[in-house]
Amino acid sequence: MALAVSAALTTQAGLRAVTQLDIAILQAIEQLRWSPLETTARVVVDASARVTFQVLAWTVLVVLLAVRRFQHLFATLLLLLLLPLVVATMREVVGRMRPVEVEVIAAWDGYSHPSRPVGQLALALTIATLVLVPSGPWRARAARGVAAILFLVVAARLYTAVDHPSDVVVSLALGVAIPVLVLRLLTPEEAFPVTYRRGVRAHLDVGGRRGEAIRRAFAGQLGMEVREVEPFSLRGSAGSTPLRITTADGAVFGKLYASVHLRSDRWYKLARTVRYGRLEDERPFNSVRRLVQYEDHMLRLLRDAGIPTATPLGIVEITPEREYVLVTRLIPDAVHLTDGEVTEDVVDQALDVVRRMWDAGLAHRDVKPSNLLLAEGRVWLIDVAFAEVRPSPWRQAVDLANTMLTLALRVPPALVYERATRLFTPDEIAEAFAASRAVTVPAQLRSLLREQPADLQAAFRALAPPRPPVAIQRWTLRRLGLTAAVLAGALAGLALVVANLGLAGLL
Amino acid sequence: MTLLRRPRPVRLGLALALSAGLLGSCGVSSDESVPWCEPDGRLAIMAQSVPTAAYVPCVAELPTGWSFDELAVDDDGARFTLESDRADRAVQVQLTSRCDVGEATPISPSDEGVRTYHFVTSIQPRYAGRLLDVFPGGCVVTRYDFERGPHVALVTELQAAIGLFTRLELRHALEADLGVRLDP
Repeated sequence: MALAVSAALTTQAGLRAVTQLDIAILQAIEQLRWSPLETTARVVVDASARVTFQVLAWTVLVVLLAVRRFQHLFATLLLLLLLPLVVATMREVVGRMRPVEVEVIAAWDGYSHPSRPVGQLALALTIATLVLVPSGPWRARAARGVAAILFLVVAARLYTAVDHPSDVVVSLALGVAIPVLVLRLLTPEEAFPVTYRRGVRAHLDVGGRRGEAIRRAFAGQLGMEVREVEPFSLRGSAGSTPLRITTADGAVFGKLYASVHLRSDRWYKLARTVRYGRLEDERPFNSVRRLVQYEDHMLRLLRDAGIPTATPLGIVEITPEREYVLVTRLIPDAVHLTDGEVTEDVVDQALDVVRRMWDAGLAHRDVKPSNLLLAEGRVWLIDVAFAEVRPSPWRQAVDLANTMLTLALRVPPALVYERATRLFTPDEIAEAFAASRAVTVPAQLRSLLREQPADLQAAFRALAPPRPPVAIQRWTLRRLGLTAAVLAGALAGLALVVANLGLAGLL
Repeated sequence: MTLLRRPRPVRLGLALALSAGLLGSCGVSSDESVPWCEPDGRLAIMAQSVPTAAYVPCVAELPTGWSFDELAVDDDGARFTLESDRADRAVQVQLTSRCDVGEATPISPSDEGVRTYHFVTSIQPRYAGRLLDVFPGGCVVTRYDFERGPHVALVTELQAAIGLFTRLELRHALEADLGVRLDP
């Protein structure tokens, strides 16, 4: 509709018809002029100047950067750069004069159609409402506030006759409708909710429509009557949304995977490849279905190898190719290993888990306190999404080092080392700590190690036979090419943004 | 059982279209925005910027190697720039309500009822100066600053490129085409 009006203005007949209608409306409004109101209207027109748009736009960008909502940030940047350019192009093509046959009583700048101040203000306010205000009553209130501001500005601009009615109508349509459409498509609320609660961004809301969909899917696919779905043990999870699902027959554990997790996995693996080369299998999954299938398969492999892990119960499809729940038995009364009582027997069990993985040709690749659970004196290994079959000896050595470091958070390193020598040779332990680096230690474990008064890695290296460090960096043509491509892409993107900031009215 | 309906191709297509638009917008052709010496909205808005001006500047022709850059217009006047591939600095054309001719030299007038002046501010090392078209209610100042060498041809081409369009003719054209009066 907006584009049709603009297109009509490029033809003589259309321009004549729209202009005459516009002038008639403006002349009617002119009859209502009253001196004190004129002053107010001029103030409002001045307040809707470009600087207001710049302040609003940069505020939104800075806030999004501060709260690290990058998907919203990129979508906002795209809109802020693109839409003003589209509007500027339309203004150049249409080249419309300001209203005639009425007295224009406020300052103006540039072509009349579409109205740049109204479009910019609508764009910035609509974006701010959609990316900064949580959905629900707050957003509804914000939307009403935006509508009131825009009404005031439009009224002032028509009252002072700086714009034609068709100029502001088209600007409003573009400035409101396009950000709504683009943000709904690129940052749907279900996947990218606007929230300011603390926590891992991978954790999705499981209430509302998603909660209902989970209930229906469990009933239809697993025959389970779900009574309650609640986030569970979120502390140790960053790559999925762990759930405790209460059914008519008791509770089960679920890991909700969605496209946001798939995307995180891709970026994580790309970053690792660029920073370290291909340490191990860093190939990303190409669908959520594949990701969840893989973890289910690995759970079964570990179970068959006699490794104590959560028994898989199946996969539930919430949205085809987009959202799945991996369902396992809930390990009753389980706590993170570092939160429980770590006895010599517990140390032995944890080391035995690693020994069994070595013997079965498996590597977990994410051994950390939240993945080693303790329940009624028994050790369990969970979260096997990164597990690998027939890994390199180096990768297996890293599992051993991370297990020993996790245990050493609760018991002396000397005890852990002594118990480890019952299952591993001193050379194997030496190799494990020769391979252990910051990059090989999961973030949670790394963070806990930093809090320790002593350097536990150094302590283990002192206990084990001397061994030179194992080189971590792997330089390959693929890594070089990928690094160059990432750098070139980032620079090109940055150059594009910088080059367009001025044109888009952001400078 | 579907929770979210977000067809991927649409999102991808939109992102590509937006990106293409972004890239494309960087290189928008300026030909459409040239204020040619024809009665249209571009000349009309320049006339609105100086309501007293009997003439508005326009582009009569763009000699080979010349290009139009940008028109900036507000309620206090209008400016546009022209560039030549043989000049390292752009020519600025400005419409104002008044100007000071100072010691400028009268030359052959650009149009009927117009007094035209030329004021050379520098001959060496660059050839720089102003052309002034003074008419009732307004003035057009054309500022140039050329390297010596091609400057003779450039000044000649510049004088041919910039024209003046009468307000009267513009007013009649707008009345005929749009049914509106430019001036109260």
